Amino acid sequence: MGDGSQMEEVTGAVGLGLFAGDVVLALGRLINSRTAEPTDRDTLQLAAQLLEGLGTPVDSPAPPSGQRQLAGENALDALAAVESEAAEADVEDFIRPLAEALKQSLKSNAKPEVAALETLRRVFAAIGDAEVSRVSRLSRPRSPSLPLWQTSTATSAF
Amino acid sequence: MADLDGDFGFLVESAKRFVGLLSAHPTPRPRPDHRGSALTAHVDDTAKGVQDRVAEVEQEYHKAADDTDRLEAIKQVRLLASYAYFMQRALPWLVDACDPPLDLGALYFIDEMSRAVIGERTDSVPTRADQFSTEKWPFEQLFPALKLSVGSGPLPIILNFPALEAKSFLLLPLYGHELGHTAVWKHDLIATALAPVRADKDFSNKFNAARDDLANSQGISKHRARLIINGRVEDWTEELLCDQVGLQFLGPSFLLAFVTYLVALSWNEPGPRHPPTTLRVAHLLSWIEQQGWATVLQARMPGVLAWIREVAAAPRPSTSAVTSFLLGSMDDVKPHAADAVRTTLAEEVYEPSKYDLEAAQIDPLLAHEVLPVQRPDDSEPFDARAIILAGWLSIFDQVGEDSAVGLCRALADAESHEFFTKALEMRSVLARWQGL
Repeated sequence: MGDGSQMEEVTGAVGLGLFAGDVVLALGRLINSRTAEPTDRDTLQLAAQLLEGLGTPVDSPAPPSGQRQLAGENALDALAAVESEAAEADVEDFIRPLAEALKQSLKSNAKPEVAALETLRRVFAAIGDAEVSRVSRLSRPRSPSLPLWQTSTATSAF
Repeated sequence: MADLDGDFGFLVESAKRFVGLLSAHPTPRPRPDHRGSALTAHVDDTAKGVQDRVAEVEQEYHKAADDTDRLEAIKQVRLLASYAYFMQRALPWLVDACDPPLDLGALYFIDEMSRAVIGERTDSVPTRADQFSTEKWPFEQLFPALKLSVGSGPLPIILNFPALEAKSFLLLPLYGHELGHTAVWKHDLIATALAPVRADKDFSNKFNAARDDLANSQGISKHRARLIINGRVEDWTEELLCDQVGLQFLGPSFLLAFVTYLVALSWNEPGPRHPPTTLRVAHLLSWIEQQGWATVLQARMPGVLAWIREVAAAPRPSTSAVTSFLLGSMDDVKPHAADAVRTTLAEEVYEPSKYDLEAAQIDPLLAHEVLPVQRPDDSEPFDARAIILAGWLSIFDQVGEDSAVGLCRALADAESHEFFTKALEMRSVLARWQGL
């Protein structure tokens, strides 16, 4: 008994992947033209919110705030992309200035912080790569499915 | 250098071919305002949205400033092509919508239950699968990326059920759990149930200890560990909430269906998305006893009730510190989940007193093998829930084995299942007739 997790997971992964691609393209336009087009502005504001959600203090038991893109496995993929780019740096310390730089860059007459935006471009490109991989994996024929209530033999953190 | 233009063109053509296959597939189409019509519209809207998005990505590709942008466009069209192909999973839904695989009595009951627990009209489509599960607005998560918004019509819900159980009257209560997923989503009950738990400092401390234990044992960051544990807490909470929706709306028939079906398949092992079955039974039993339903079961199936109590008391698995934390957190969640559902269902919560009044009229009818459709005293249709619970008790009595074995044999009595499903059909027909 449960909800249709594979359908939900594939749909969520495609949604996040498309969004990540939009962010990369929008950041490219912002870096090159120095100003954000109106549709890009909405996309990049959502990107800033997603980053802030990922960067919430680790000692809070609450989940990353308000971002539907961050449901379930999506959040883990997004975090993996951030951690990969952050290398040894603390995630919160890494994300905070990037999110701030993005928000500042969206203000009228602001000069985009190119280095920060290039870093974000790499992060969101990595998120897109992760979602393409995950969709490919999920779309392959599965072994005969077990009822959801049996302990999964899939990789688990426990 | 890779031929990006060639790759992109190939993927665009593939995406268009997949969308074309989906749109041209000769599945039957439901009539307007009939079962499956809202679902069909949702599928069609999504397919169109994918097609339009492919066209947008084509424009992006041709405007691309550099190979970085072109590679992003290629990724996006690959995702869209994959999804267009994945959408063929909707085809069996559309077939089952036009030719429902359940009897009318079951369909009518599901429709009434969905309106009661979700609070709005739904387009519920039962479809054959290998297990009970559900999806609502199946493609809706993609809508922001496709720049679509959901329509204002009935909410489409897929209700997957094990094909072998299509005729099972006694397992109808399990649809209450599945519809509960939509109710939980619509009323944001996970957040409601968890808010007081997360606000508790003791919970926070235990959460952080579990987080650190997971991070250390798995060699992952604390951020990752937090996400994983949070996800598990929320998934398990959702399952407990859905159990409460089924239980509070239906009463003991939900508990009986639950234990008969699920305990045969699982025991106290924790699942990736579900708490241990024995813990779930404990929570269900607790509510049954608090609300005074146990007397109904004690009177008619004392052996079964004793067995259910043993199941509920099964020892918890001794596994990792993280699992222990999760099991304990569900104890914290339990009262809040019950309260959240009770508040949401309000007057739809089924109470023993309501059943007792109707049971006194149903039982004499059953003694003479008369379909329990309407009350002899006022000619009103019986509450469907009373028919289901009376059906459980009656079929069980006929089996004559007061034990878990008796529950299993009750599920096998096909003729009785047909009798009671017909009663559900006729009481719905009567209710609609009287409402004209």
